[in-house]
Amino acid sequence: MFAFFVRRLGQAILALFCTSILIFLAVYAIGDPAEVLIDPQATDAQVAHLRAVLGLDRPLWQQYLLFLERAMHGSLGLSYFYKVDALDLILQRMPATIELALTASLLALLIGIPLGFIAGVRHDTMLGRSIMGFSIAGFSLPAFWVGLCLIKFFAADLHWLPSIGRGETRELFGIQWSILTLDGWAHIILPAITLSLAKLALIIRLTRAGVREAMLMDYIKFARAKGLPPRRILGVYVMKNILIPIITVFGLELARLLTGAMIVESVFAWPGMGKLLIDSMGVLDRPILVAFLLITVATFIIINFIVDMLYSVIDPRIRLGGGRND
Amino acid sequence: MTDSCPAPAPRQEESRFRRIAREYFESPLATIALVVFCIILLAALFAPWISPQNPYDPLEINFMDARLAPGSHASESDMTYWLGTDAQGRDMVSSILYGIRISLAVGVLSSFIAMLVGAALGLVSSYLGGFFDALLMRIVEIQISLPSALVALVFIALFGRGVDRLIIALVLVQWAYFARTVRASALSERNKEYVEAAACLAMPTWRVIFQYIFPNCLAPLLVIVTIQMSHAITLEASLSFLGLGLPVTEPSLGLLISNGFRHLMNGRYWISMYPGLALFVLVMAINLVADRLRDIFNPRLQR
Repeated sequence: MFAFFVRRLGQAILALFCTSILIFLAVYAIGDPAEVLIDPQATDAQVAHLRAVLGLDRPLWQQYLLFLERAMHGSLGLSYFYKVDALDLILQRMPATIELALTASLLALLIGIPLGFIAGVRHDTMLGRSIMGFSIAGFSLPAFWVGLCLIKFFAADLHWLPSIGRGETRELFGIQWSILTLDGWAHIILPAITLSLAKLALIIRLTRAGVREAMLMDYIKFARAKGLPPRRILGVYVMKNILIPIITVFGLELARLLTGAMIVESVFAWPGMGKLLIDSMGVLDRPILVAFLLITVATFIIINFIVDMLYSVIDPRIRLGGGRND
Repeated sequence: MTDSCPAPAPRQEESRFRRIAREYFESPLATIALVVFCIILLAALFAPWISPQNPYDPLEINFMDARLAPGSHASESDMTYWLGTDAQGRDMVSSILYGIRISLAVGVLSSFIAMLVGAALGLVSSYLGGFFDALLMRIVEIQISLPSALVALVFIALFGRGVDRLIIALVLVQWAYFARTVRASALSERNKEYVEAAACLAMPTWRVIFQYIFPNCLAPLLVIVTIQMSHAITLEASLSFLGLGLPVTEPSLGLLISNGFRHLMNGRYWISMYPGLALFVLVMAINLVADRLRDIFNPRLQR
C-alpha cells in the first residue's frame, strides 16, 4: 500500500512539473512575456525596469527556473485589474466554486444512483424508459438556458429564490461558506441544480449500465438462489460492483465541475473562480489566466491521485496487480 | 479492379444499409427524432426563403414593433409575430431560423473537420504503434479529461475571437474523441486476415490504412460524429452566450439567448426562451439519433 502511494505521488509531482513547463512555454513563447506580465499602461522606464527584475534578458532555462521559483512562493504576477496577486485572488474565490461543485455533485449522486438502479432493474417498464428519456434530455439541455429558465420561474415569476450572488456567508476554518446559512442555501440551490443536470444524466446512465451488467452475473443468480432479499442483493452485491466506475467518473466530473463551472457561475453571478476567469477575459487580465490554468492542472492531478488511492482501498486487485490496463 | 464478380459487392452493401435502416426505424422515438432533425435541417437550409422577414435587413424590420409579445400583429404590415419580437423589432421566428442556420453550420463544419483530423491521427497512431502511439494517447487522455468549455475559452483568450478561430477551438476540443475511437477499432481490425492479405500483396502502408482498415471503422465514427455535433452546437451556443463565441454579425442561437437575458426579469421571456427551446429541441433530436445509432452498432447488444 505504501509503495503504491509513493509511486502515485511521484507520478503526480512529475505530471505537475511537466505541465508547469508547458504553461511556461505557452505563455512565454506565444506572446511577449513583458506584455503578459506587465501592465499595458506602464511607461517605458517602468517596462525596462520590470524586464530586468523579471530576468527577461536571461536564457530561457534560467527564466523557467525563475518562473518556478516565483510560483513556489505563490506569486504568478499581479492582476492588471484588481492590482493584487492573481493566485491569491483565485484562491480567495475558490471556496465559492468548491461548495457549488460539491453541492451539484452530491445532488447528482443522491438522485442519480437510485434512478439508475430503477432504470437498470426495470429497464423494460415505462418507468425505466422514462428515466432514460429524462437522462437524454439532461444531456441535451444547454446549462446556461436551464439557468435562465430557473431564474425566470423561481426568481422573476414566483419570487421564491434569489437569482444572483452568494447570499449570507459564515466563517469556518477561516473561510467564508454559503452552505452554513439558510440564505446561502437559497442562493446556491438554483445554480447547483443547473450544474448538476448533465452530471445527473451521466450518473443515471452509468448506474443503469452497471446494474444491467451485474444482474446477469453468476454471483447474483447464486445470491437469488440462496433466497437473499432483493434489497440486500441490490444494495450490497450489485452496489459494490458498480462503485468503481462510478467513483472514477465522479472524480473526473468533480474536477471538471471545479474548473468548468464558469458558464453557470456567469449566469447566476456566482462569485467563484469561473466567474473571475470570464470577467478577466473581458479585460484581458492574463496573469489570472495563467494562475487559473495552473490551478486547473493541480486540481486534476490531486483528484486523480485521490481516486487512485480510493481504488486501491475498494478493490485490492488494483494495488496487487500494478498498473492499469487499457 | 477485377471483373470476375462485380455484382455481389454492391448488393451486400445495400443489404447492410437496409438492415441498419430497418433496425433504426424499429424505435418510434428515434424515428421521430430523425424526422424532427430533418425538418430543422431543411428549415435552416431554406431560412432565407421561408422565414417571414430577413431579420438582418434594416429595411424589413420596424423599430416601432420592438418587444412585442408573441401573437402580436405588425403595425405597418399584415404580418403576425407568432413568437414576438426582440428589442430591435426583429421577428423572433425569423431570428431563430437564421440562428439555427448559423449554429448548425458551425457545429457540422467543426465536427467534420475534427473527424478528419482525429480519424487520420488515430489510424496512423494505431498502425505505427510504439512511441508515437503512446504519446498521442497520453495527449488524447489529457484533452478528454479537461472541461471542453475551459479549453475553448483559453484558446479564444490566447488567439482572439472570430469565426475561423471559434471553429479551430471547437475542433481542438473534439478531435481526441475521434482519434481514440478510430484507434481502438483500427487496432481490432489490424490483426484480421484481410489486412494481412493486403500487406502480403505488398501494398503501400497508406493504402492498407485508408482503403482497407478505415472503411471498417466507419460505424463507431458515425456514432461519435453525431454526439460531437450536438456537443459542438451546445458549446458554441454557450461561448456565444458569454460573448466569446461568434461575432454579433453572425447571430447564432446562443447570441439570441444572450440578448434576451437582459429582458428576462422584465417578463419579456420570449426573447431568450424560444431560441433556447429551439436549441434544446435541435440538440435533443441529434442526441436521440446518436443514442439509437450507438445501440445498433454496439456489438454487445447484437445477436
